[in-house]
Amino acid sequence: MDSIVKETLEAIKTECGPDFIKYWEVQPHQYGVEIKSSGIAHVPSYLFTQQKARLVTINASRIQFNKIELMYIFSLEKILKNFIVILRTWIPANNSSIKSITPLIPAANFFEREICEMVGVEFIGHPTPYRLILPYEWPKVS
Amino acid sequence: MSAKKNQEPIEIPTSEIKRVLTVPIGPFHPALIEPVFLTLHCDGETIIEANIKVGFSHRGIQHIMEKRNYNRNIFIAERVCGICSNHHATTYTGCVERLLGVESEIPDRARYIRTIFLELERLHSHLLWLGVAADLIGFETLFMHSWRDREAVMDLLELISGNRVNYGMQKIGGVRRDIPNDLIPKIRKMTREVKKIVSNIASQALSDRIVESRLKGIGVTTSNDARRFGVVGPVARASGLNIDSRKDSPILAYDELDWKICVQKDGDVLARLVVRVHELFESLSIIDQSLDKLSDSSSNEIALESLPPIESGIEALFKSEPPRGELAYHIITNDTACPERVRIRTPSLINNYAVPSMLKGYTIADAPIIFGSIDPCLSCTDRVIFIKDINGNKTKQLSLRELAQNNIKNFRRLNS
Repeated sequence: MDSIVKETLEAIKTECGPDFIKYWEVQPHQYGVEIKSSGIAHVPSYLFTQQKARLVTINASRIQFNKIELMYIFSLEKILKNFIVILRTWIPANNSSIKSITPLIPAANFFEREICEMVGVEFIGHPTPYRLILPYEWPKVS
Repeated sequence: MSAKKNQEPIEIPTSEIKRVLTVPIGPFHPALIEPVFLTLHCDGETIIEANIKVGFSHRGIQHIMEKRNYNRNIFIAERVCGICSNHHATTYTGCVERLLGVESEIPDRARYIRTIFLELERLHSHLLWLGVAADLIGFETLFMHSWRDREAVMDLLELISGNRVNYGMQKIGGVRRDIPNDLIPKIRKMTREVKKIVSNIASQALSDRIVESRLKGIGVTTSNDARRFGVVGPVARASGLNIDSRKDSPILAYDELDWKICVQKDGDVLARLVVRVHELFESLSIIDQSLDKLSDSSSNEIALESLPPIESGIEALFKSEPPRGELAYHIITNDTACPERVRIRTPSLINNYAVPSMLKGYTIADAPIIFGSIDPCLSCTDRVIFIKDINGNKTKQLSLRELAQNNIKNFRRLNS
């Protein structure tokens, strides 16, 4: 692992504090960082403002029928070529709500609205939680 | 649930405006290239607020890909978008190769052929956009010249692959068809012709005073806004962001070749035009260099003969740079022959989000070219999952045949 990558991951770990769980290498130069869902309130913002990371996308996947895993994919290409951090957290499927990062990172707006409609996750504090892809008449996903 | 509740409400920024006129454009409208619903809230001619609604060409691509095996998915990935079909196929196969751990073993010849195809696709896409943009501002001569001359690039693609839209060139581990060495002189001759054509088009587009006065200073996105909205591709580069996946996450042969990122600082529609025109020349340079490398290549191998089995529970992200901006595929595997999750982040999805902010403060007449300046691709934007059964309240998937039958029924009902 490059020293600059190690340094960045340790800085993320420090920022996470008690919300940090683990980090590991997913692919060369691509790292998964697992955190508790409460960490979403401050860690993406730290990556965006302090590490100058770029939000590539947010991915959501239903695992084990009772959990929804959220993956916030950040590109830190200005630190090192190909450097990707996948911030992962999971929330229970029966109470699928999490704090929105759109007020801090506007680029997340469409991703969160898409996940809200497709997977049924409620993003608390989203500034424009309206229909994006599904028709306006479509029943709310439960 | 009422439809109104789900609509984005109007937020008027000042109390001094006496009357607000709401102009709905779309989803199908002559001023729009593809289906999208723009709502412009105007004070006289000036747009004070804008909303965008997408989802009108939603096909459920990601869900479909999770139900098919890795080889069959190349076919689906290629059909996400008609313009950058090869970028989708290359990015998907690259992501699977990364999952298999064979990315560094791809034969050189395959890497150069893939690079040539990606750049040819950029050429024809930018020429297409130039034509569309010229049409939107009423410059019909440039529109016709651009689309006529784009045919030269399409002929080149057809010569190499046999196809004009979905080239069917990619496979996991390499490419399906070689570019034989005896064909390279002919391709060089054709690229020289294309270079002449591109020079002619570029001089028409960049030296015209009317184009400049029509496009300068409209649809401005500042560098700070571009970063906040996360825009990518020529839109980001026109706003001064020096980002390009080909440099930042080099794939294929890009890091072996000599080329530059084109960056402008103004952030307006003219800057986006200038970036795209410069990229045409860079693409031609990349193709020339790739052809040199291809002719020097001694090996005839174009694909790996055998591939290892895919591991369960691993993931990979793979990025490329289609004409519209960064494309990312994120694939997670499971213990079956199909992926657990496929996430496609297309450039148009993120660029569309910046459109309302670009429109604010400009006139209704500017709206089509401002929206067109991001080179919107709505088939890229809408990819996801459900089809609703109109007869019941249940959500279910319909087969293509059922969907077609429903469409025919609706068509007959409307015309009876």
